[in-house]
Amino acid sequence: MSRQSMRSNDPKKVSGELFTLTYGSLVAQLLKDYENVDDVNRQLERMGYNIGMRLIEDFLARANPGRCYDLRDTADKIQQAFKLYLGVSPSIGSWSPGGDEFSVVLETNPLAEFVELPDHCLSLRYSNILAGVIPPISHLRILAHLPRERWKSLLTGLRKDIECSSIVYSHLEVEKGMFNE
Amino acid sequence: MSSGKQRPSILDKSLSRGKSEVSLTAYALLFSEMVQYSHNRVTSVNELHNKLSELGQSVGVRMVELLFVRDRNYKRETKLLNILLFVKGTLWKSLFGKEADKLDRATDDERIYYLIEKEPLVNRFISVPRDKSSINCAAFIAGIIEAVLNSTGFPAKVTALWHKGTTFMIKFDDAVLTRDKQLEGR
Repeated sequence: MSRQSMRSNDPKKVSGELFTLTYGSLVAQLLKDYENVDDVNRQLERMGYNIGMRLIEDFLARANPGRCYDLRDTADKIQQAFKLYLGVSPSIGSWSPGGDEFSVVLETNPLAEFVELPDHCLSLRYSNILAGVIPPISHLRILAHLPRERWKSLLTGLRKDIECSSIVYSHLEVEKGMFNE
Repeated sequence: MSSGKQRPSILDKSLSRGKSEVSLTAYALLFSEMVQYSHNRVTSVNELHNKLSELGQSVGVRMVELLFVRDRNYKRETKLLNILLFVKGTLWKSLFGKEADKLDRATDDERIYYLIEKEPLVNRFISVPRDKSSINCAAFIAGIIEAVLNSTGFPAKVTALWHKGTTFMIKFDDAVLTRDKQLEGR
């Protein structure tokens, strides 16, 4: 008898595995198409950006997130969006003393569930598409990615997965009034 | 990073039970990016189909391993009809949460089968330009099916057609039919 794993039949959801594997096949294709890993990282980020541009409308319509008054609000919304779209709750942390930088930490990363990177791809930021999605949603700019080692643990999908985002002050003004109804 | 530090490999983790879900929006947008990316790198509809099918194949191969290990206790199918039912049932359910709508057999060619899906998940948000109405992005799913059949030992060619929604035309190699006849009655 087969052990059929049945999922809930919510028409607004799709199988996490289909999603993971589809993303994997995209990354594999990019690696074939581009000669170096940095270009792949860039391309993934670009795709993420395109997705973010369209996702924000859906997010505003569906979650009705209200206005963001400060960066902590924004971080909350990002957390909320992760929950809504990827079904995971990242933790927000590592606030800088000035309160203008924070990290989004994914304990489980639905993009990287079956992923094990070969040695020659260690500089690949496998989940870089997420780094691209966040800026158009939040008007934040991602200034720096965490050091490679921490990324690596993301890539193997074993321990803490880190996406990080940082922000410049000047963008804060733009960002106000972003999430208004 | 020093290689001395031993990280546990992915094989040491237990296999997920496949219950995780993500939002359809996220998937649709990801797929749309894939289609656009592929579209920018091809010059004809045929090439686009091939490109999408290739992307699907890398999903298909992995689904075979996953499903046979997790749901089928390592037992693979040996009969033609059973593998088709596996695609229509088990595979479809775990990918799309439902069985495929219909499985049909061509009347004039015993190598050809049709798997019919009225509204494939990937096509739900894609509108096809009028001058290129033959584009069917379900070629991606055709790729998944093709890889599943190939890697379970039933080499076939699968194409996605617009017919009763989307029809996947599955054309098996002659050898598959010959073997299936030999197996008959065992």
